[in-house]
Amino acid sequence: MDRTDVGLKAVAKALTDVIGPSIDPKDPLAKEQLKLAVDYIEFVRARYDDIHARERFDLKHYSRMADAIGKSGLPSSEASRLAGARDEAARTLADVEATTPQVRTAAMELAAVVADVVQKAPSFGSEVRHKIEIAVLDATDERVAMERAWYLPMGFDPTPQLAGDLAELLKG
Amino acid sequence: MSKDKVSGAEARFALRDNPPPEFIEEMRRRFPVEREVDELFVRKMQRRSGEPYHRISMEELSERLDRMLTDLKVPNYKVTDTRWFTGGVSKIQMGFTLEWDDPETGHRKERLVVRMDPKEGSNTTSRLREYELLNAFEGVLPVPHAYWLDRDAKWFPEPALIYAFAEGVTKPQTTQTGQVSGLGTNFGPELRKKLAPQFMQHLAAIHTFDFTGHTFESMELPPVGTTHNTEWQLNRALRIWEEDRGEDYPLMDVAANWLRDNMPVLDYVSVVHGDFRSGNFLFDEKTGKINAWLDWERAHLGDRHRDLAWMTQHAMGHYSEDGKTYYVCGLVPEDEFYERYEEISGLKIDPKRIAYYNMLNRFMIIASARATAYRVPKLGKSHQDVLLMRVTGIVPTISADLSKALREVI
Repeated sequence: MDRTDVGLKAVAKALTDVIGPSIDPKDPLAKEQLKLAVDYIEFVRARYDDIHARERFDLKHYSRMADAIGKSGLPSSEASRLAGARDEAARTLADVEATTPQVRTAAMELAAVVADVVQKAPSFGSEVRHKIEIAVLDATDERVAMERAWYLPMGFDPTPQLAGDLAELLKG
Repeated sequence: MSKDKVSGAEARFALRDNPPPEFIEEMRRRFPVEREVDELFVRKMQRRSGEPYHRISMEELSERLDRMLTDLKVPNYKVTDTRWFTGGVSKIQMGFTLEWDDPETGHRKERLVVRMDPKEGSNTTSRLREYELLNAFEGVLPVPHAYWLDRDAKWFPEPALIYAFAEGVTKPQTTQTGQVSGLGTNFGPELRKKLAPQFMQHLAAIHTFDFTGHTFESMELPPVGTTHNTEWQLNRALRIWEEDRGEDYPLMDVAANWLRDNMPVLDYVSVVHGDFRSGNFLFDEKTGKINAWLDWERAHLGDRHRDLAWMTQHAMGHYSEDGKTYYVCGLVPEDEFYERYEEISGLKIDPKRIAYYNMLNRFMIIASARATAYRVPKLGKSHQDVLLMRVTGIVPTISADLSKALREVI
């Protein structure tokens, strides 16, 4: 059984109970950074079990974005390049034994092809460009919703009560 | 991350950890910016593969200070009461007291601040520019007197500026608001009444400042009637995104396409503060008098709408308790803000330019929070790596704003 969570809990406790009180009171930066360090450990503990699901979310997210962009009337060479990258991503998604780094790599590869198409969009004519850009904005909504829930413990969300349920959002 | 198979995309982003000269030149060619900014970015990239930042001790920093004061022949000086300051996300700050015999005014005792770059920080900015602007605005606005500049890290490990310590607070002692860099501070009705008129006067004074009698080595004058200024500011943001990021984010590509196509022409050249907001001025809580405007590192000569769009972002202010009135930077009701600005400054506000800079500002914040706040801690380059990791949490909120704004215009 993996014990990382218990280990991180122990690290946070050591920092709070032992290291914290020994900090020089004339060193406010050290005090401030200790709190940030403990907060980040607690954030990792809260998200540790979901990291693989998050990488799969990214891969599914870019796959959906690629599908939508593929329907925008791209030049054939771009369309086939995008379809090839999308197929490669589908193979990784279907592989139940794909590791977390493999899923992450596949998402980065697909994202690179998608981003390249979006960067070139102004050269495809205004109608195609418009469809591509709308496809990106539409797909961005789900990513923003997931990341909003993911980063909720960081405390920047002005309306945290409106953030969605992370487990549901990660299912994509 | 697994090391057994590095993909093309991973390799492309890893290249930014140790950028070859061709990559640095490509960034310069694709994203031309002001000369001072270009030199700083080149320096950043050339040093990127170097050592991480390791915390400098108080003793070492004091020794460096001692060396500088000796070399500058400051008469009979004595440094005491050295202490760290928090609050500086991008710069390392040490306070100290200096006694010396000033040849002009006699014996003096002042509280001063050393403000020094980390190896690479949350933003790459010029200490020379800060020094020049603090000098230019002395007597015009409440700003701390700038004493010395270590422009090329002759004495300190990195470029540094030494200026007077300014008394005051950034927010009322009792408020729980404004915990992140003073953003969203609620000053309360009494202080608001005292601070708001000064806030507006100071903003107008900056934007109408006659800089013709001043020589700024660190800033270039953008020509009116052209898009040069917008190009420099847009290229600066695009270059930060390209040099620092570790992933693709197609939303940013959509935004970049729009920003390139819609650059406004400059109608009037102002000094732009770059970060004019609550949290960046110090005031006396009893009298409500603003004692100092700080953080001039993002300043430039350009379009006043850049400042106006920055300070009117909703993260910078707050709504009244009844939810009916939004206070810009917690001080001025939004519906009065633009009218009062035009009245005091005599300068017009163009809603289209405001909309453009709103878009560019959001792009810039995401570039900092998603790209720089990834690369810098990845390489251990700053004194605030752990804080930068937290800053990433702002990306979804700003992305939602950016996406919404793009939907309205594309």
